[in-house]
Amino acid sequence: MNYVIIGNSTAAIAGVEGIREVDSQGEIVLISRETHHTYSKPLISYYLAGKVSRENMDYRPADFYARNRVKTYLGQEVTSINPETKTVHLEPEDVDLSYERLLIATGGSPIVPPVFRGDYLNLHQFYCLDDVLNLSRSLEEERPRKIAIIGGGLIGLKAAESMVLRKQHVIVIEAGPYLLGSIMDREGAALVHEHLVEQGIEFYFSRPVIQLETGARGIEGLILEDHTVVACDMVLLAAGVRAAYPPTVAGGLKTDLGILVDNYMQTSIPGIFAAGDVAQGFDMMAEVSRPVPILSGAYRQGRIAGLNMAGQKKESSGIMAFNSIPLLGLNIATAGLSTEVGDDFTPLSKTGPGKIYQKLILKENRIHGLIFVGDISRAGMYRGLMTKKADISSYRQHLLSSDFGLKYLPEEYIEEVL
Amino acid sequence: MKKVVAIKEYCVACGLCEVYCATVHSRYPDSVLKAFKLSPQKPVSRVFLEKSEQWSGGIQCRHCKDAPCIAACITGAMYRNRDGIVLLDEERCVQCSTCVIACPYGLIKESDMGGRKVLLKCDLCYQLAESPTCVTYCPNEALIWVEEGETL
Ligand SMILES: Cc1cc2nc3c(=O)[nH]c(=O)nc-3n(C[C@H](O)[C@H](O)[C@H](O)COP(=O)(O)OP(=O)(O)OC[C@H]3O[C@@H](n4cnc5c(N)ncnc54)[C@H](O)[C@@H]3O)c2cc1C
Repeated sequence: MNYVIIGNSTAAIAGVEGIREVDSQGEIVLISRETHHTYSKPLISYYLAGKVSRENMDYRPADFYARNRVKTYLGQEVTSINPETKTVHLEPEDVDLSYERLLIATGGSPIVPPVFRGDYLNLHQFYCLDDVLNLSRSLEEERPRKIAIIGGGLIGLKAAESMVLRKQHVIVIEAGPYLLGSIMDREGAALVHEHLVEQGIEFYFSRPVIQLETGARGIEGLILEDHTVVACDMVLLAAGVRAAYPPTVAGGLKTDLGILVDNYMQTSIPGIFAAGDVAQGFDMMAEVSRPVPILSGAYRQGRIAGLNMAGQKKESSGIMAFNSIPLLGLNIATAGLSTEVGDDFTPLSKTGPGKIYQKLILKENRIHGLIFVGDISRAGMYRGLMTKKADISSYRQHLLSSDFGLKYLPEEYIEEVL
Repeated sequence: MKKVVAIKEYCVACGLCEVYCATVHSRYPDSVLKAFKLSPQKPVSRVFLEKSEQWSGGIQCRHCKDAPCIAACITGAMYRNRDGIVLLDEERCVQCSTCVIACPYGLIKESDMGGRKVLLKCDLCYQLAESPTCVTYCPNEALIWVEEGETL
Protein backbone atom coordinates (compact mmCIF):
# COMPACT_ATOMS: atom_id res chain seq x y z
CA MET A 1 0.00 0.00 0.00
CA ASN A 2 1.21 3.52 -0.67
CA TYR A 3 -0.06 6.54 1.19
CA VAL A 4 0.04 10.25 0.47
CA ILE A 5 -0.72 12.74 3.22
CA ILE A 6 -1.31 16.43 2.50
CA GLY A 7 -0.42 18.46 5.57
CA ASN A 8 2.23 18.36 8.26
CA SER A 9 0.38 19.32 11.39
CA THR A 10 -1.63 17.49 14.03
CA ALA A 11 -4.02 15.56 11.78
CA ALA A 12 -1.28 14.60 9.32
CA ILE A 13 1.11 13.43 12.05
CA ALA A 14 -1.64 11.44 13.75
CA GLY A 15 -2.34 9.95 10.32
CA VAL A 16 1.25 8.76 10.06
CA GLU A 17 1.05 7.31 13.56
CA GLY A 18 -2.23 5.56 12.76
CA ILE A 19 -0.86 4.03 9.57
CA ARG A 20 2.31 2.85 11.29
CA GLU A 21 0.32 1.15 14.04
CA VAL A 22 -0.97 -1.21 11.37
CA ASP A 23 1.40 -1.10 8.41
CA SER A 24 5.11 -0.84 9.02
CA GLN A 25 6.03 -1.40 5.36
CA GLY A 26 3.85 0.80 3.15
CA GLU A 27 5.38 3.90 1.63
CA ILE A 28 4.25 7.17 3.21
CA VAL A 29 4.70 10.48 1.44
CA LEU A 30 3.88 13.69 3.30
CA ILE A 31 3.50 17.03 1.56
CA SER A 32 3.28 20.44 3.17
CA ARG A 33 3.15 23.96 1.93
CA GLU A 34 5.05 25.10 4.99
CA THR A 35 8.77 24.38 5.05
CA HIS A 36 9.06 23.72 8.79
CA HIS A 37 9.41 20.46 10.64
CA THR A 38 6.03 19.58 12.16
CA TYR A 39 5.23 22.15 14.82
CA SER A 40 2.35 22.88 17.13
CA LYS A 41 0.18 25.70 15.88
CA PRO A 42 -1.26 26.68 19.29
CA LEU A 43 2.30 27.44 20.41
CA ILE A 44 2.75 30.42 18.13
CA SER A 45 1.48 32.80 20.81
CA TYR A 46 3.73 31.19 23.42
CA TYR A 47 6.68 31.56 21.08
CA LEU A 48 5.94 35.23 20.53
CA ALA A 49 5.69 35.75 24.27
CA GLY A 50 9.08 34.11 24.71
CA LYS A 51 7.58 31.24 26.70
CA VAL A 52 8.66 28.53 24.34
CA SER A 53 11.80 28.15 22.26
CA ARG A 54 11.68 27.48 18.54
CA GLU A 55 12.92 23.89 19.10
CA ASN A 56 10.24 23.22 21.67
CA MET A 57 7.56 24.13 19.15
CA ASP A 58 8.20 20.87 17.34
CA TYR A 59 5.15 18.66 17.64
CA ARG A 60 7.27 15.52 17.27
CA PRO A 61 11.01 14.87 17.72
CA ALA A 62 13.42 15.72 14.91
CA ASP A 63 13.76 12.06 13.87
CA PHE A 64 10.00 11.57 13.50
CA TYR A 65 9.98 11.25 9.71
CA ALA A 66 13.04 9.02 9.65
CA ARG A 67 11.77 6.77 12.38
CA ASN A 68 8.41 6.36 10.67
CA ARG A 69 9.98 6.16 7.21
CA VAL A 70 8.08 9.12 5.83
CA LYS A 71 9.25 10.78 2.65
CA THR A 72 8.58 14.51 2.93
CA TYR A 73 7.98 17.21 0.38
CA LEU A 74 8.13 20.38 2.45
CA GLY A 75 7.56 23.76 0.88
CA GLN A 76 5.40 22.10 -1.77
CA GLU A 77 1.75 22.82 -2.32
CA VAL A 78 -0.78 20.36 -3.66
CA THR A 79 -2.64 22.31 -6.33
CA SER A 80 -4.87 19.53 -7.59
CA ILE A 81 -6.05 16.04 -6.80
CA ASN A 82 -7.11 13.70 -9.56
CA PRO A 83 -9.13 10.77 -8.21
CA GLU A 84 -9.30 9.21 -11.71
CA THR A 85 -5.56 8.79 -12.04
CA LYS A 86 -5.10 8.72 -8.25
CA THR A 87 -2.50 11.43 -8.35
CA VAL A 88 -1.81 14.75 -6.68
CA HIS A 89 -0.01 17.60 -8.38
CA LEU A 90 2.73 19.51 -6.55
CA GLU A 91 3.90 23.06 -7.10
CA PRO A 92 6.50 24.52 -7.47
CA GLU A 93 8.14 21.14 -8.03
CA ASP A 94 5.65 20.45 -10.85
CA VAL A 95 5.38 16.71 -10.30
CA ASP A 96 2.51 14.27 -9.97
CA LEU A 97 2.60 11.74 -7.17
CA SER A 98 0.46 8.61 -7.12
CA TYR A 99 -1.42 7.34 -4.14
CA GLU A 100 -3.49 4.34 -3.23
CA ARG A 101 -4.78 6.04 -0.09
CA LEU A 102 -4.84 9.81 0.31
CA LEU A 103 -5.28 11.82 3.49
CA ILE A 104 -6.28 15.47 3.19
CA ALA A 105 -5.15 17.15 6.40
CA THR A 106 -4.82 20.69 5.12
CA GLY A 107 -6.35 22.38 8.15
CA GLY A 108 -7.85 25.83 8.00
CA SER A 109 -7.07 29.24 6.71
CA PRO A 110 -7.73 32.55 8.43
CA ILE A 111 -10.70 34.62 7.36
CA VAL A 112 -9.84 38.08 6.08
CA PRO A 113 -12.79 40.46 6.51
CA PRO A 114 -13.35 42.39 3.24
CA VAL A 115 -12.34 45.72 4.76
CA PHE A 116 -8.84 44.33 5.40
CA ARG A 117 -8.29 42.94 1.91
CA GLY A 118 -5.34 44.81 0.57
CA ASP A 119 -1.63 45.13 0.98
CA TYR A 120 -0.83 46.90 4.21
CA LEU A 121 2.67 46.82 5.62
CA ASN A 122 1.56 46.66 9.22
CA LEU A 123 -1.26 44.16 8.83
CA HIS A 124 -0.43 40.68 10.12
CA GLN A 125 -2.17 37.35 10.21
CA PHE A 126 -1.95 35.42 13.44
CA TYR A 127 -2.28 31.84 12.33
CA CYS A 128 0.89 29.96 11.52
CA LEU A 129 4.57 29.94 12.36
CA ASP A 130 5.63 32.11 9.43
CA ASP A 131 3.07 34.70 10.55
CA VAL A 132 4.69 35.05 13.96
CA LEU A 133 8.22 34.90 12.60
CA ASN A 134 7.31 37.88 10.40
CA LEU A 135 5.45 39.56 13.20
CA SER A 136 8.35 39.13 15.56
CA ARG A 137 10.65 40.84 13.06
CA SER A 138 8.19 43.68 12.49
CA LEU A 139 7.80 44.24 16.21
CA GLU A 140 11.52 44.66 16.53
CA GLU A 141 11.97 46.80 13.46
CA GLU A 142 8.90 48.99 13.65
CA ARG A 143 8.50 49.26 17.40
CA PRO A 144 4.75 49.88 17.26
CA ARG A 145 3.11 51.41 20.29
CA LYS A 146 -0.51 50.47 19.82
CA ILE A 147 -1.50 47.11 18.46
CA ALA A 148 -5.07 46.48 17.40
CA ILE A 149 -6.28 42.90 17.33
CA ILE A 150 -9.29 42.13 15.20
CA GLY A 151 -11.32 39.44 16.93
CA GLY A 152 -11.90 38.60 20.58
CA GLY A 153 -12.09 34.86 20.08
CA LEU A 154 -9.64 32.23 21.27
CA ILE A 155 -6.91 33.10 18.78
CA GLY A 156 -7.37 36.87 19.19
CA LEU A 157 -7.07 36.65 22.95
CA LYS A 158 -4.03 34.38 22.77
CA ALA A 159 -2.50 36.97 20.46
CA ALA A 160 -3.46 39.72 22.92
CA GLU A 161 -1.86 37.82 25.77
CA SER A 162 1.41 37.44 23.91
CA MET A 163 1.46 41.14 23.05
CA VAL A 164 0.81 42.13 26.67
CA LEU A 165 3.66 39.87 27.74
CA ARG A 166 5.81 41.75 25.24
CA LYS A 167 4.78 44.97 26.94
CA GLN A 168 2.74 46.23 24.05
CA HIS A 169 -0.36 48.35 24.34
CA VAL A 170 -3.20 46.18 23.08
CA ILE A 171 -6.66 47.04 21.77
CA VAL A 172 -9.08 44.24 20.95
CA ILE A 173 -11.92 44.92 18.52
CA GLU A 174 -14.73 42.40 18.78
CA ALA A 175 -17.70 42.65 16.46
CA GLY A 176 -19.91 40.62 18.80
CA PRO A 177 -21.25 41.73 22.18
CA TYR A 178 -18.74 39.82 24.30
CA LEU A 179 -15.48 37.85 24.25
CA LEU A 180 -15.04 34.21 23.23
CA GLY A 181 -18.57 34.13 21.86
CA SER A 182 -18.18 30.70 20.26
CA ILE A 183 -17.42 28.95 23.55
CA MET A 184 -18.45 31.26 26.38
CA ASP A 185 -21.62 32.78 27.82
CA ARG A 186 -22.03 36.41 28.77
CA GLU A 187 -21.37 35.87 32.45
CA GLY A 188 -18.13 33.94 31.98
CA ALA A 189 -17.01 36.37 29.30
CA ALA A 190 -17.56 39.28 31.70
CA LEU A 191 -15.06 37.76 34.14
CA VAL A 192 -12.52 37.21 31.38
CA HIS A 193 -13.08 40.78 30.21
CA GLU A 194 -12.61 42.17 33.71
CA HIS A 195 -9.39 40.22 34.11
CA LEU A 196 -7.97 41.36 30.79
CA VAL A 197 -8.89 45.00 31.41
CA GLU A 198 -6.92 44.76 34.66
CA GLN A 199 -3.97 43.62 32.57
CA GLY A 200 -4.23 46.80 30.55
CA ILE A 201 -6.05 45.57 27.43
CA GLU A 202 -8.56 47.96 25.86
CA PHE A 203 -11.74 46.60 24.27
CA TYR A 204 -14.35 47.68 21.77
CA PHE A 205 -17.45 45.52 21.40
CA SER A 206 -20.44 45.21 19.09
CA ARG A 207 -18.95 47.41 16.40
CA PRO A 208 -17.17 45.93 13.44
CA VAL A 209 -14.48 47.85 11.61
CA ILE A 210 -16.06 49.43 8.53
CA GLN A 211 -13.20 51.48 7.15
CA LEU A 212 -9.48 52.03 7.49
CA GLU A 213 -7.44 55.17 7.87
CA THR A 214 -4.22 54.63 6.01
CA GLY A 215 -0.92 56.46 5.80
CA ALA A 216 2.78 55.92 5.25
CA ARG A 217 3.00 53.11 7.79
CA GLY A 218 -0.02 51.27 6.44
CA ILE A 219 -3.11 51.15 8.63
CA GLU A 220 -3.11 54.03 11.12
CA GLY A 221 -6.67 53.99 12.31
CA LEU A 222 -9.72 51.77 12.37
CA ILE A 223 -13.12 53.32 11.85
CA LEU A 224 -15.82 51.39 13.65
CA GLU A 225 -19.46 51.15 12.72
CA ASP A 226 -20.43 53.97 15.10
CA HIS A 227 -17.65 56.13 13.58
CA THR A 228 -15.35 55.77 16.57
CA VAL A 229 -11.78 56.01 15.31
CA VAL A 230 -9.24 53.73 16.97
CA ALA A 231 -5.67 54.78 16.34
CA CYS A 232 -3.11 52.00 15.97
CA ASP A 233 0.37 51.28 14.61
CA MET A 234 -0.12 47.65 13.79
CA VAL A 235 -3.07 45.33 13.17
CA LEU A 236 -3.28 41.60 13.89
CA LEU A 237 -6.07 39.67 12.25
CA ALA A 238 -7.79 36.97 14.26
CA ALA A 239 -11.23 37.11 12.73
CA GLY A 240 -11.88 33.41 12.50
CA VAL A 241 -10.82 30.38 10.54
CA ARG A 242 -12.46 28.31 7.85
CA ALA A 243 -11.60 24.92 6.43
CA ALA A 244 -8.81 25.28 3.88
CA TYR A 245 -10.55 23.67 0.99
CA PRO A 246 -8.16 21.66 -0.95
CA PRO A 247 -7.26 22.75 -4.40
CA THR A 248 -9.19 21.57 -7.42
CA VAL A 249 -10.39 18.07 -7.10
CA ALA A 250 -11.47 16.53 -10.36
CA GLY A 251 -14.69 14.68 -9.70
CA GLY A 252 -15.48 16.79 -6.69
CA LEU A 253 -15.50 16.05 -3.00
CA LYS A 254 -18.68 16.48 -1.01
CA THR A 255 -18.28 19.47 1.26
CA ASP A 256 -20.34 21.62 3.57
CA LEU A 257 -18.39 23.77 6.03
CA GLY A 258 -15.56 21.29 5.63
CA ILE A 259 -14.90 18.13 3.66
CA LEU A 260 -17.64 15.71 4.69
CA VAL A 261 -16.33 12.52 6.27
CA ASP A 262 -18.01 9.46 7.74
CA ASN A 263 -17.03 7.86 11.05
CA TYR A 264 -14.04 6.24 9.34
CA MET A 265 -12.83 9.63 8.06
CA GLN A 266 -13.60 8.45 4.55
CA THR A 267 -14.71 11.21 2.17
CA SER A 268 -17.24 10.87 -0.63
CA ILE A 269 -14.47 9.58 -2.91
CA PRO A 270 -13.23 6.06 -2.12
CA GLY A 271 -9.59 5.96 -1.07
CA ILE A 272 -9.58 9.62 -0.05
CA PHE A 273 -9.75 10.44 3.65
CA ALA A 274 -9.83 13.77 5.45
CA ALA A 275 -9.14 14.75 9.06
CA GLY A 276 -8.63 17.77 11.28
CA ASP A 277 -9.73 21.35 10.76
CA VAL A 278 -10.42 20.71 7.08
CA ALA A 279 -12.87 17.90 7.78
CA GLN A 280 -16.45 18.00 8.90
CA GLY A 281 -17.23 14.92 10.94
CA PHE A 282 -19.56 13.94 13.73
CA ASP A 283 -19.78 16.21 16.77
CA MET A 284 -20.69 13.82 19.58
CA MET A 285 -22.29 16.47 21.76
CA ALA A 286 -24.30 18.31 19.13
CA GLU A 287 -25.03 14.93 17.50
CA VAL A 288 -24.71 16.43 14.05
CA SER A 289 -22.00 16.65 11.43
CA ARG A 290 -20.13 19.90 11.93
CA PRO A 291 -16.55 21.12 12.07
CA VAL A 292 -14.87 21.01 15.47
CA PRO A 293 -11.61 22.81 14.78
CA ILE A 294 -9.52 21.86 17.79
CA LEU A 295 -6.21 20.10 18.14
CA SER A 296 -7.47 17.02 19.98
CA GLY A 297 -10.13 16.55 17.32
CA ALA A 298 -7.49 16.77 14.61
CA TYR A 299 -5.39 14.20 16.40
CA ARG A 300 -8.24 11.74 16.93
CA GLN A 301 -9.55 12.05 13.41
CA GLY A 302 -6.06 11.81 11.95
CA ARG A 303 -5.28 8.62 13.82
CA ILE A 304 -8.58 7.03 12.88
CA ALA A 305 -8.02 8.00 9.26
CA GLY A 306 -4.55 6.41 9.41
CA LEU A 307 -5.82 3.16 10.89
CA ASN A 308 -8.58 2.84 8.31
CA MET A 309 -6.29 3.78 5.43
CA ALA A 310 -4.01 0.95 6.48
CA GLY A 311 -6.91 -1.47 6.55
CA GLN A 312 -7.86 -1.65 10.20
CA LYS A 313 -11.55 -0.84 10.48
CA LYS A 314 -11.86 1.61 13.33
CA GLU A 315 -14.94 3.71 13.86
CA SER A 316 -14.97 7.11 15.51
CA SER A 317 -17.72 7.88 17.99
CA GLY A 318 -17.34 11.51 17.07
CA ILE A 319 -15.38 14.28 18.71
CA MET A 320 -16.17 16.76 21.43
CA ALA A 321 -15.24 20.40 21.33
CA PHE A 322 -13.19 21.33 24.38
CA ASN A 323 -10.53 23.84 25.22
CA SER A 324 -8.40 25.04 28.05
CA ILE A 325 -6.93 28.48 27.61
CA PRO A 326 -5.13 30.22 30.38
CA LEU A 327 -5.15 33.96 29.67
CA LEU A 328 -2.65 36.03 31.63
CA GLY A 329 -3.10 33.84 34.66
CA LEU A 330 -6.82 33.21 34.44
CA ASN A 331 -7.81 29.63 33.65
CA ILE A 332 -10.67 29.07 31.26
CA ALA A 333 -12.01 25.69 30.18
CA THR A 334 -15.08 24.88 28.12
CA ALA A 335 -16.50 21.71 26.64
CA GLY A 336 -19.40 20.52 24.53
CA LEU A 337 -22.44 22.71 24.04
CA SER A 338 -21.07 25.40 26.30
CA THR A 339 -23.07 28.24 24.78
CA GLU A 340 -26.37 26.36 24.55
CA VAL A 341 -29.32 28.31 25.99
CA GLY A 342 -32.28 26.52 24.35
CA ASP A 343 -35.47 25.84 26.32
CA ASP A 344 -34.68 22.17 26.94
CA PHE A 345 -31.38 23.07 28.57
CA THR A 346 -31.04 23.86 32.25
CA PRO A 347 -27.98 25.74 33.41
CA LEU A 348 -26.48 24.94 36.78
CA SER A 349 -23.93 27.49 37.89
CA LYS A 350 -21.85 28.77 40.72
CA THR A 351 -19.90 32.00 41.04
CA GLY A 352 -17.10 33.21 43.25
CA PRO A 353 -15.15 33.59 45.34
CA GLY A 354 -13.14 35.98 43.21
CA LYS A 355 -12.94 35.30 39.52
CA ILE A 356 -14.52 31.88 39.69
CA TYR A 357 -17.44 30.84 37.55
CA GLN A 358 -18.54 27.28 36.92
CA LYS A 359 -21.48 26.27 34.82
CA LEU A 360 -22.87 22.97 33.62
CA ILE A 361 -25.48 22.79 30.91
CA LEU A 362 -27.90 19.98 31.64
CA LYS A 363 -30.60 18.34 29.58
CA GLU A 364 -32.50 15.13 30.23
CA ASN A 365 -30.26 14.11 33.12
CA ARG A 366 -27.08 14.51 31.17
CA ILE A 367 -24.34 17.12 31.10
CA HIS A 368 -24.14 18.57 27.61
CA GLY A 369 -21.68 21.37 28.12
CA LEU A 370 -19.55 23.19 30.64
CA ILE A 371 -17.84 26.51 31.25
CA PHE A 372 -15.24 26.80 33.99
CA VAL A 373 -13.43 30.06 34.70
CA GLY A 374 -10.87 30.54 37.45
CA ASP A 375 -10.88 27.06 38.92
CA ILE A 376 -10.83 24.30 36.31
CA SER A 377 -9.40 21.54 38.48
CA ARG A 378 -12.50 19.35 38.28
CA ALA A 379 -13.48 20.12 34.72
CA GLY A 380 -12.04 16.82 33.47
CA MET A 381 -14.31 14.72 35.60
CA TYR A 382 -17.40 16.52 34.33
CA ARG A 383 -16.17 16.20 30.78
CA GLY A 384 -15.67 12.49 31.43
CA LEU A 385 -19.34 12.23 32.43
CA MET A 386 -20.27 14.05 29.22
CA THR A 387 -18.27 11.60 27.11
CA LYS A 388 -19.98 8.69 28.80
CA LYS A 389 -23.41 10.28 28.38
CA ALA A 390 -23.78 9.48 32.07
CA ASP A 391 -27.18 9.76 33.73
CA ILE A 392 -26.58 12.23 36.53
CA SER A 393 -29.97 11.95 38.24
CA SER A 394 -28.68 10.07 41.30
CA TYR A 395 -26.06 12.71 42.14
CA ARG A 396 -27.49 15.80 40.53
CA GLN A 397 -27.68 17.66 43.85
CA HIS A 398 -23.93 17.24 44.36
CA LEU A 399 -22.85 18.60 40.99
CA LEU A 400 -20.55 21.62 41.38
CA SER A 401 -20.34 21.09 45.16
CA SER A 402 -16.81 21.68 46.37
CA ASP A 403 -16.39 18.01 47.34
CA PHE A 404 -17.84 16.59 44.14
CA GLY A 405 -15.87 13.51 43.22
CA LEU A 406 -15.78 9.81 42.71
CA LYS A 407 -17.65 9.13 45.93
CA TYR A 408 -20.89 10.40 44.44
CA LEU A 409 -20.59 8.40 41.26
CA PRO A 410 -22.09 5.00 40.55
CA GLU A 411 -20.19 1.83 41.38
CA GLU A 412 -19.20 0.97 37.82
CA TYR A 413 -17.55 4.36 37.41
CA ILE A 414 -15.60 3.92 40.63
CA GLU A 415 -14.45 0.44 39.57
CA GLU A 416 -13.15 1.88 36.32
CA VAL A 417 -10.90 4.33 38.10
CA LEU A 418 -9.61 2.16 40.93
CA MET B 1 1.25 -3.50 30.85
CA LYS B 2 1.29 -3.41 34.65
CA LYS B 3 -0.96 -0.93 36.38
CA VAL B 4 -1.64 0.12 39.93
CA VAL B 5 -5.01 -1.10 41.16
CA ALA B 6 -6.65 0.06 44.38
CA ILE B 7 -8.59 -2.41 46.48
CA LYS B 8 -11.10 -0.31 48.30
CA GLU B 9 -12.00 -3.06 50.76
CA TYR B 10 -8.43 -3.10 52.11
CA CYS B 11 -7.76 0.61 52.11
CA VAL B 12 -7.96 2.29 55.49
CA ALA B 13 -7.42 5.79 54.11
CA CYS B 14 -4.13 6.23 55.98
CA GLY B 15 -2.85 8.47 53.19
CA LEU B 16 0.66 6.99 53.10
CA CYS B 17 0.36 6.57 49.33
CA GLU B 18 0.11 10.34 49.03
CA VAL B 19 2.94 10.94 51.49
CA TYR B 20 5.37 8.61 49.72
CA CYS B 21 4.35 9.70 46.26
CA ALA B 22 4.98 13.32 47.19
CA THR B 23 8.29 12.36 48.76
CA VAL B 24 9.65 10.31 45.90
CA HIS B 25 8.84 13.14 43.50
CA SER B 26 10.47 15.75 45.74
CA ARG B 27 14.03 16.98 45.99
CA TYR B 28 14.60 14.47 48.81
CA PRO B 29 13.18 11.23 47.42
CA ASP B 30 14.67 9.07 50.17
CA SER B 31 13.40 10.85 53.21
CA VAL B 32 9.86 11.79 54.10
CA LEU B 33 11.08 14.05 56.87
CA LYS B 34 13.51 15.93 54.68
CA ALA B 35 11.03 16.13 51.83
CA PHE B 36 8.42 17.80 53.96
CA LYS B 37 10.73 19.84 56.18
CA LEU B 38 13.38 21.02 53.75
CA SER B 39 11.65 21.28 50.37
CA PRO B 40 11.10 24.90 49.35
CA GLN B 41 7.52 24.00 48.40
CA LYS B 42 5.35 21.45 50.05
CA PRO B 43 5.79 18.22 48.09
CA VAL B 44 2.74 17.27 46.05
CA SER B 45 1.34 13.83 45.48
CA ARG B 46 0.23 12.48 42.12
CA VAL B 47 -1.92 9.80 43.68
CA PHE B 48 -5.13 10.96 45.32
CA LEU B 49 -6.84 9.36 48.22
CA GLU B 50 -10.54 9.30 47.46
CA LYS B 51 -12.90 8.41 50.24
CA SER B 52 -16.55 8.23 51.05
CA GLU B 53 -18.28 6.89 54.12
CA GLN B 54 -18.25 3.40 52.63
CA TRP B 55 -14.92 3.08 50.93
CA SER B 56 -11.56 4.63 50.13
CA GLY B 57 -8.74 4.11 47.68
CA GLY B 58 -5.70 5.77 46.22
CA ILE B 59 -6.28 6.65 42.59
CA GLN B 60 -3.93 7.81 39.89
CA CYS B 61 -3.53 8.06 36.13
CA ARG B 62 -4.92 4.97 34.37
CA HIS B 63 -2.40 5.24 31.52
CA CYS B 64 -5.34 4.80 29.16
CA LYS B 65 -4.83 2.94 25.90
CA ASP B 66 -6.47 5.64 23.80
CA ALA B 67 -5.30 8.41 26.10
CA PRO B 68 -7.35 11.62 25.77
CA CYS B 69 -4.55 13.65 27.36
CA ILE B 70 -2.08 12.64 24.65
CA ALA B 71 -4.56 13.49 21.89
CA ALA B 72 -5.29 16.84 23.50
CA CYS B 73 -1.76 17.94 24.41
CA ILE B 74 -1.07 21.00 22.31
CA THR B 75 2.71 20.69 22.48
CA GLY B 76 3.32 16.96 22.20
CA ALA B 77 4.73 17.03 25.74
CA MET B 78 2.32 14.30 26.83
CA TYR B 79 3.55 11.06 25.37
CA ARG B 80 3.62 7.33 25.86
CA ASN B 81 6.97 5.68 26.48
CA ARG B 82 7.98 2.28 25.15
CA ASP B 83 6.52 0.53 28.15
CA GLY B 84 3.11 2.10 27.61
CA ILE B 85 3.44 4.61 30.44
CA VAL B 86 1.87 8.01 29.77
CA LEU B 87 4.40 10.65 30.73
CA LEU B 88 4.58 14.41 30.69
CA ASP B 89 7.78 16.02 29.50
CA GLU B 90 7.88 18.98 31.84
CA GLU B 91 10.48 20.72 29.69
CA ARG B 92 8.05 20.97 26.81
CA CYS B 93 4.87 21.59 28.77
CA VAL B 94 3.52 25.15 28.52
CA GLN B 95 0.94 24.68 31.29
CA CYS B 96 -2.06 25.22 29.03
CA SER B 97 -3.94 22.67 31.19
CA THR B 98 -5.72 21.10 28.25
CA CYS B 99 -4.83 17.72 29.77
CA VAL B 100 -6.67 18.74 32.96
CA ILE B 101 -9.95 18.97 31.10
CA ALA B 102 -9.07 16.06 28.80
CA CYS B 103 -8.61 13.53 31.62
CA PRO B 104 -12.03 11.97 32.21
CA TYR B 105 -11.06 11.02 35.75
CA GLY B 106 -9.62 14.38 36.75
CA LEU B 107 -6.25 12.82 37.57
CA ILE B 108 -3.93 15.48 36.18
CA LYS B 109 -3.52 18.39 38.54
CA GLU B 110 -2.13 21.83 38.42
CA SER B 111 0.23 22.71 41.18
CA ASP B 112 1.92 25.90 42.21
CA MET B 113 5.67 25.50 42.62
CA GLY B 114 6.55 28.81 44.17
CA GLY B 115 4.77 30.96 41.63
CA ARG B 116 5.48 28.59 38.77
CA LYS B 117 2.55 26.53 37.59
CA VAL B 118 3.27 22.89 36.85
CA LEU B 119 1.11 19.97 35.81
CA LEU B 120 1.53 16.75 37.66
CA LYS B 121 0.51 13.22 36.91
CA CYS B 122 1.47 9.71 37.95
CA ASP B 123 4.56 8.40 36.15
CA LEU B 124 4.31 4.93 37.72
CA CYS B 125 7.74 5.69 39.20
CA TYR B 126 9.16 4.43 35.91
CA GLN B 127 12.67 5.43 36.88
CA LEU B 128 12.71 3.07 39.83
CA ALA B 129 13.57 -0.57 39.46
CA GLU B 130 10.95 -1.73 41.94
CA SER B 131 7.18 -1.27 42.05
CA PRO B 132 5.66 2.21 42.14
CA THR B 133 6.28 3.93 45.47
CA CYS B 134 2.61 4.12 46.45
CA VAL B 135 2.41 0.33 46.09
CA THR B 136 5.65 -0.31 47.92
CA TYR B 137 4.61 1.72 50.94
CA CYS B 138 0.95 0.81 51.15
CA PRO B 139 0.88 -0.95 54.53
CA ASN B 140 -2.03 -3.24 53.83
CA GLU B 141 -1.61 -4.05 50.18
CA ALA B 142 -4.58 -1.95 49.19
CA LEU B 143 -2.56 -0.78 46.21
CA ILE B 144 -1.23 -3.53 44.03
CA TRP B 145 0.82 -3.54 40.85
CA VAL B 146 -0.58 -6.05 38.41
CA GLU B 147 -0.89 -6.88 34.75
CA GLU B 148 -3.96 -5.30 33.23
CA GLY B 149 -7.09 -7.37 33.54
CA GLU B 150 -5.69 -9.28 36.48
CA THR B 151 -7.00 -8.25 39.89
CA LEU B 152 -5.99 -10.07 43.00
C1 LIG C 1 -2.99 30.76 17.78
C2 LIG C 1 -3.74 29.47 17.81
C3 LIG C 1 -4.03 28.89 19.05
C4 LIG C 1 -4.72 27.68 19.12
N1 LIG C 1 -4.94 27.14 20.36
C5 LIG C 1 -5.58 25.96 20.45
C6 LIG C 1 -5.77 25.35 21.72
O1 LIG C 1 -5.38 25.87 22.76
N2 LIG C 1 -6.41 24.15 21.77
C7 LIG C 1 -6.86 23.54 20.63
O2 LIG C 1 -7.42 22.45 20.73
N3 LIG C 1 -6.68 24.09 19.41
C8 LIG C 1 -6.05 25.28 19.30
N4 LIG C 1 -5.86 25.84 18.06
C9 LIG C 1 -6.38 25.13 16.88
C10 LIG C 1 -5.42 24.05 16.40
O3 LIG C 1 -4.20 24.64 16.12
C11 LIG C 1 -5.97 23.36 15.17
O4 LIG C 1 -7.19 22.75 15.50
C12 LIG C 1 -5.02 22.31 14.63
O5 LIG C 1 -3.79 22.87 14.29
C13 LIG C 1 -5.62 21.59 13.43
O6 LIG C 1 -4.68 20.73 12.88
P1 LIG C 1 -4.75 20.26 11.38
O7 LIG C 1 -3.69 19.23 11.24
O8 LIG C 1 -6.13 19.87 11.03
O9 LIG C 1 -4.45 21.54 10.48
P2 LIG C 1 -3.36 22.68 10.51
O10 LIG C 1 -2.69 22.76 11.82
O11 LIG C 1 -4.04 23.90 10.01
O12 LIG C 1 -2.28 22.22 9.44
C14 LIG C 1 -2.54 22.17 8.07
C15 LIG C 1 -1.31 21.66 7.35
O13 LIG C 1 -1.59 21.51 5.97
C16 LIG C 1 -0.62 22.18 5.16
N5 LIG C 1 -1.32 22.56 3.92
C17 LIG C 1 -2.47 23.28 3.81
N6 LIG C 1 -2.85 23.35 2.51
C18 LIG C 1 -1.93 22.67 1.80
C19 LIG C 1 -1.77 22.38 0.40
N7 LIG C 1 -2.65 22.77 -0.49
N8 LIG C 1 -0.68 21.66 0.03
C20 LIG C 1 0.23 21.24 0.94
N9 LIG C 1 0.11 21.47 2.25
C21 LIG C 1 -0.95 22.19 2.68
C22 LIG C 1 -0.12 23.28 6.05
O14 LIG C 1 1.16 23.70 5.66
C23 LIG C 1 -0.12 22.59 7.42
O15 LIG C 1 1.04 21.80 7.58
C24 LIG C 1 -5.17 27.05 17.94
C25 LIG C 1 -4.90 27.63 16.71
C26 LIG C 1 -4.19 28.82 16.63
C27 LIG C 1 -3.89 29.40 15.29
